[in-house]
Amino acid sequence: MKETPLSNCERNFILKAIENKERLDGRQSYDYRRIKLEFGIDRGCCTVELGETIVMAKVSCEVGQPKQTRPTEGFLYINVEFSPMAEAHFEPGKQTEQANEMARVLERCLRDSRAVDLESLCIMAGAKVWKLRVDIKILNYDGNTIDASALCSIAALSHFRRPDITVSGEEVTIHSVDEKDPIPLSIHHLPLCVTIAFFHQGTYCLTDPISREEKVMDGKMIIGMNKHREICTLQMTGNMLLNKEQVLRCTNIATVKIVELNDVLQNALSADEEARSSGKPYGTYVADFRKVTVKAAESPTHSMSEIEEEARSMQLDSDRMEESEEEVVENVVKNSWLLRIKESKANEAQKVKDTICSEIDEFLTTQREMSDLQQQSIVNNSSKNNGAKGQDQDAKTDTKRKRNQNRPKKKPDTQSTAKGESLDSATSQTKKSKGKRKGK
Amino acid sequence: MAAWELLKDQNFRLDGRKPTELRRIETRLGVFPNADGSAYLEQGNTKVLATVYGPHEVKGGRGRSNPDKAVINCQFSKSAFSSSERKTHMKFGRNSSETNQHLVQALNAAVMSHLYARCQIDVYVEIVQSDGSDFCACLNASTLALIDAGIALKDIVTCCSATIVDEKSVVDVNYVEESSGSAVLIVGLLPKDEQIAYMQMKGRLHADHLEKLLDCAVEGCRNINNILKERIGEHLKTHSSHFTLTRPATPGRAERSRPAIA
Amino acid sequence: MSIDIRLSNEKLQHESTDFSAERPLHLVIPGDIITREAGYMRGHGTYMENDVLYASVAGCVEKVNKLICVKPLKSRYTGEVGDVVIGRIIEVGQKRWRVETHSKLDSVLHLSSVNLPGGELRKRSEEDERMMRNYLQEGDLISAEVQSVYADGSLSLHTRSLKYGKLGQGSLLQVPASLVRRRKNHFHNLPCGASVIIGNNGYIWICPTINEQSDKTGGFVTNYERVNSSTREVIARLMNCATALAENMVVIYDTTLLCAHEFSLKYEVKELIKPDIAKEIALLTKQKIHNNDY
Repeated sequence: MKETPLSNCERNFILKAIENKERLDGRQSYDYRRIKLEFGIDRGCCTVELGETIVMAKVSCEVGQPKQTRPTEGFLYINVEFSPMAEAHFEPGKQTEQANEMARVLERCLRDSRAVDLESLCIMAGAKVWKLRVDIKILNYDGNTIDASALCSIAALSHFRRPDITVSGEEVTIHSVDEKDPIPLSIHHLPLCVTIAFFHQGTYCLTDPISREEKVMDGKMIIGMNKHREICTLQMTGNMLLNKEQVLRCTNIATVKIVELNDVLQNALSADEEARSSGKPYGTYVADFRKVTVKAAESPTHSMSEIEEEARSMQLDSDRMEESEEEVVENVVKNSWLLRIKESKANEAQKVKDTICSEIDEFLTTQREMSDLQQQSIVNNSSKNNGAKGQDQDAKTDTKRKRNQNRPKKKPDTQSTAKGESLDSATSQTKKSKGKRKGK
Repeated sequence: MAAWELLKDQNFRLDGRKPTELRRIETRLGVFPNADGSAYLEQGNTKVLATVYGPHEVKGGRGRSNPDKAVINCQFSKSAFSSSERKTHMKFGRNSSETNQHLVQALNAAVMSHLYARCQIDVYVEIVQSDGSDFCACLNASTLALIDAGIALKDIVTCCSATIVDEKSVVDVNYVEESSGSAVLIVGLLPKDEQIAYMQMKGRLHADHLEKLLDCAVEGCRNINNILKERIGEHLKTHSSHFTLTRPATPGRAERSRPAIA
Repeated sequence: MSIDIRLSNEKLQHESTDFSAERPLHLVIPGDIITREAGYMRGHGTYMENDVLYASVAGCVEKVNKLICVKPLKSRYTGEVGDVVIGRIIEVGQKRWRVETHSKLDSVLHLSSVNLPGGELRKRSEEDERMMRNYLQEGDLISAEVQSVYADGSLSLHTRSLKYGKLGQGSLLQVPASLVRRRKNHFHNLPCGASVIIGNNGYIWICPTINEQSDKTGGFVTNYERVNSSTREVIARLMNCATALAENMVVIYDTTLLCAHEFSLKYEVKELIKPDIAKEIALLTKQKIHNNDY
């Protein structure tokens, strides 16, 4: 299928917007789109989403014979495929110029800059070496596939583990994954690419162009660099002319961007390692790249990106608020139930208390009666000395009763104090939740 | 890697050159009578032949012709006997395809292609002997061939390579220096306004050294430009009789070649 | 049969015959400044940038009153109305033929621009369209005149005169288009016994003498009568002379051809192919023309 050309009004609009330092998606000139790095379950599989562009890389290895001229070096092949699912005008199987260019850039970036140590891939000098193969497939095309692929391939290479080998004399044993843990590749540095597109005969430049911007651009410059500020590859393609100052300015922009991209990569790798080691499911890492710009001082006070961010954070907060409200409601319901239970218990306790009090009163009244009767009997039987024993017995029973009276009193107290505490906590919780509401 | 000293004590390179010295350049224009334009270029031991056919009708159907500009088509080929070891190079392999594309892009920046709308210009380059800076020699030879064909150019495209050896930048690298693994920068320049039409670097280089290396390569391009200008001038002079005879010698003659207005 | 071997070192060096002494040539290279003065009209081979006139081809600056143009050594043929060209049919299309004339773009010969056989004048019908292939096929050689030039530079040809049309027996030679000057007459019947058509696009056609009276058949009937050996020899000699002149960058028109033919008579036809003899003839011709000019 033939590629649909960009209409002239779209072209003019994009160019005009760039003159006014605006981009279609509201980014700043040197901002990157949202980057999402995802590793697969298999070692060496990585997917990068740069905005809408989706690129997948897979590293595989096999044993083979080395080159005659370099008997101690392994191989690193890079294969790029633009699949028709990315864009309808890509033909399956056909090696287009674009795919070719990308493969060559990546080869220079990864292989010629000695990012991967090829000598460490040697098993037996002159006889057997590891042949690494990075297969990159473009799954969805929206511009800037080179940056995405570079990030993807170096991430996949860092993620990859090759089978362990033991050499005993002439024999080489390649251990399977179950026998011995596979070992990581020896990677000296992590080169990443930055694509800078030029417009209006080189007057304006943007990083991370989307596919519509790419159709309108004069040409682009690809800079491959690692975080130590070592340039791994430099290429200026496109039918445009630049002068020295523009070239040096681009390298400065690239330096800043590489550091950010590197952070993304490192965080993603470490997150994945952590997830694997702790047994959690291997997750994704999301980076928001819209804040950092080279000319931070010149950025406007309010930009779309900032407003978007605020909106998002507000959304998150409101989500949380909703959650907390639900919790509060739940708590209130729970507390009300507890209150009722406690109230009922308190009532019961109160009843018990009342009954005991009434019993005590009864005791006291009976005691008085008894004592009255005893006094009468004493008066009656003053000559008789048999009443003392009865008094002692009475005294004992009195003390016993008093003890009994004391015990039941304590229970309702503790219960009431416990209820009091729970009531207090319930009230405090409600107070806290009210506080939360007020705070939000 | 062999323990060769690329830069010896007295600041001489392996082939006896100083760091800022170019190799010997020999040129010849109009080598093939069949082609519209042709050139032969020697840069030291790197020898390159370039031929240009065009502008002519676009081959391969109407779909490939561009109504605004010319379609430039380059075909790069490295002979099997060009390197020290005989090695057949795949004409349609990845490296050749990339070189073709880069040649097209570099030449597109110089050719005034709006004058050749709907036309196709074919450039065929063959490396007869390879000794480093192959691409540079190809681009220089293509420019000469285009000039020989009479195709309108904004300016001559000159190309030069440079590398850094022992913290010193060294211009016009040969095969040994190229394969030593140090970073090699290739710059294609339009010397009139000092504008860079093509740039490519391979190998690892610290960003602080880039400016130095760029300056060195640009200086090399300027020097090559002077040499090429001289050669083209000589070529024109030897064929200057053509200009006098095609022009009426005296103003009074009846037949006048009508100059066409652009 | 003997084989002749020559070493390239023994080739005579270029003798730059000093014709340039009369008028100094202003030779330029792409990117050179021609003039900074304003008020000049820009011709071929130049471009303007920031009010400065630069050259875009390598050649000699020509100034005609206020018009400045740069003429390169070699360039493809660009057509003008009224030029005589020789071309090959490469395609038979809808109501037109596509003709290859060694220019930037292929030329076009419309059905309405040819003479119908018998000389009729009528509107072209469907049947005519289907019979196109009977008139001119792919591979046929024709002589035509440029009727008009389109905006993109391609030419529209016509064969409306009886002297134009399909070419029969003869030899075709290709020379650089810049060696052919525009003149009043491009069809010459040379006294040596051959006719020559010098096309502005660099194609030269040498054939047996065209009989002015009898061969006016509208140009579509080819004469396949056997040509005798003496005429063939003359044609071959003329071919070699023209080749010699072309290789040494001498302008080709009837006078120069005749001069060259004269000088070549002392050699055999096949000897004229040798570069040193060819050069000698060319030099002699150049000198004679130069002398005749003054």
